[in-house]
Amino acid sequence: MALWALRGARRGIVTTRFPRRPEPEAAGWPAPPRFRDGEIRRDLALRMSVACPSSALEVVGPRLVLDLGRCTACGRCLELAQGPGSSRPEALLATRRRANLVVSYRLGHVK
Amino acid sequence: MNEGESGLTLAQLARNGTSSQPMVANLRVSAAGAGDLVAKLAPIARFADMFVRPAEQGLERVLVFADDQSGGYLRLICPLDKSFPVPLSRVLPAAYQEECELYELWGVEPGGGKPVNRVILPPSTETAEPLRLPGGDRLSSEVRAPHVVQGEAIEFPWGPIRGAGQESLYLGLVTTGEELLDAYLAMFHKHRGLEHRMVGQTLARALFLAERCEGLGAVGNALAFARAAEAALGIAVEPAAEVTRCLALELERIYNHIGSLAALGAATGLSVGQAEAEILLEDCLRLNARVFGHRYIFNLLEVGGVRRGADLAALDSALDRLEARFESLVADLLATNSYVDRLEGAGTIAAEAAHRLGLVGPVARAAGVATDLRRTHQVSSTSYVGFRPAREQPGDCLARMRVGAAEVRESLRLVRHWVRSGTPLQDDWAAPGPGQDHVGGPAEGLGWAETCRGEALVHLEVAGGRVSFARLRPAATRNWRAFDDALRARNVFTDVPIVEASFWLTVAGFAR
Repeated sequence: MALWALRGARRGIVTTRFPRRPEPEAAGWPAPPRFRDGEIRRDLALRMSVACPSSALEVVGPRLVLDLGRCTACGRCLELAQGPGSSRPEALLATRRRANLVVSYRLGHVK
Repeated sequence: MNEGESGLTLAQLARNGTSSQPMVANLRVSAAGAGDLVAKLAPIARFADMFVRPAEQGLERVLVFADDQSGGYLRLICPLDKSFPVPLSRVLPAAYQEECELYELWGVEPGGGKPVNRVILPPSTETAEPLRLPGGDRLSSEVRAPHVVQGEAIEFPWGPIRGAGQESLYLGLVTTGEELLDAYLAMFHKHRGLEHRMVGQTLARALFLAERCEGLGAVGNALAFARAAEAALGIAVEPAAEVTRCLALELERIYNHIGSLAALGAATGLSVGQAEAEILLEDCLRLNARVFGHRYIFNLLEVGGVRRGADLAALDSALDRLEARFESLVADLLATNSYVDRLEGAGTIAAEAAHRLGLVGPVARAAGVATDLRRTHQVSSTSYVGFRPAREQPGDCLARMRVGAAEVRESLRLVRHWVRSGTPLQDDWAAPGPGQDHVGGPAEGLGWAETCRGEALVHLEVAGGRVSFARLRPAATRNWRAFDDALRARNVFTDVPIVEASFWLTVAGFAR
């Protein structure tokens, strides 16, 4: 077992500084989408809600509702909305209230 | 080619069948004739799968046999006879798992009064209708195989919640205190009805589900699905896309085998070894994300090719260091007596049992069975040139660990070859555009892939570009068949996590 004690000592502390410091690598990982308010047209919103495999997107009246608790960050919606949509910069979505995971965006006018 | 006592070969049988797909033959027989033919096939072919599907006139039973000598599959199709006189598992022990499934899905009893295990339905649905046959005869608790616990023994319940990050699995460990006498498994907690949910979906949407059948086998299962769809619709895949798929498959194999090493470290109490393997695993997942945009290589495959290319420069720059760290870890693990002693002789599956139970992948290869689809069932003639399958004996945990290590080495060699030899690869690393949908059918196709756990099979029927029937058979489904046998093989309580880590199966793959 001395072998492993030496290996462990040689390695030292191997945990990262997360969450005290952000994890730079995570910036490139898939993340749920965010949209620019008022820039998603209704037809695009409807197509995105159909494309969403986990039903995280829904058009409710004049708004596009995104349930981050259902989103699997598959990116299907962003493939359709590459202009007004982008990946969230943060991967941390933990919250104490379920309702905080539901966000909505105002739909834009059909041109 | 294996020959039975009658001189019959699988290739001869396949020649009598019809075929709409290369390497796959269909043979239609009467229900009465199926029993005899299965008895003839049992010694010459590997049982791969059995399922029931709706047909124009009632239901059909489909048995899939693999020819591991010359490559190819034979589908034996017969009308479903609910009063099958003899359970198929009497001549094909490997088929017992499927017999249990058929009872819960279609109400089909194995025949001969053979009891069935609970595989999909929870006990609360004891007298429910079969899942796929609403209005059919209700299931009966009398058909269930009882748990036998005698004398001083008890059934020690472990699970379904067994620890953070572990899949839901109930293990009923029958013991008198230390030795394991028997084990009962229950996996219905995780059943998601994926095959049923695919029906009516577009191929792109169904592939999304296939990819999520088991998270640690996303590439392998999605590849088998894509190949089934491509076979059904006659879609050709560009060579560069095919090699890119193989590249992803090997990266998936590498991180899975390293994950198994980490689990073995945890199971044997070797915490520094576990931590080192976990660091290596994390680095592999990060490499996956840099190369293919996702830690578990989701969202890469599509029917007809791949959705994005690989970042070959990122991959190339990481290979040598990854290999050096892996070799150092394995060398030190194998030089640790306390580690090797715990693995040696634990959870042994003999070669005869591996053949009899139709085992696949590293579990079979550790028992000396040289079944590897990358050698025997090659889809592309260029991808696996010079491939050397791993093979060990005597089928214990140490042999499985050694097979895993050998496969990581071979996968690294293949990846290095593809990246550095100028093999055509898709390297346009960019965010994928909207997935492509295909139309066509009615048609059917069989797809396969040698995943990190062994052979994954997908039988797919397509009509109007949508799935009309799907059957997923991940490798885990086959290999769980032997898990309780491995536990019974002169083990003690503390061997259970070691055997589990060395099998490296997923519950999700079984309870799809």
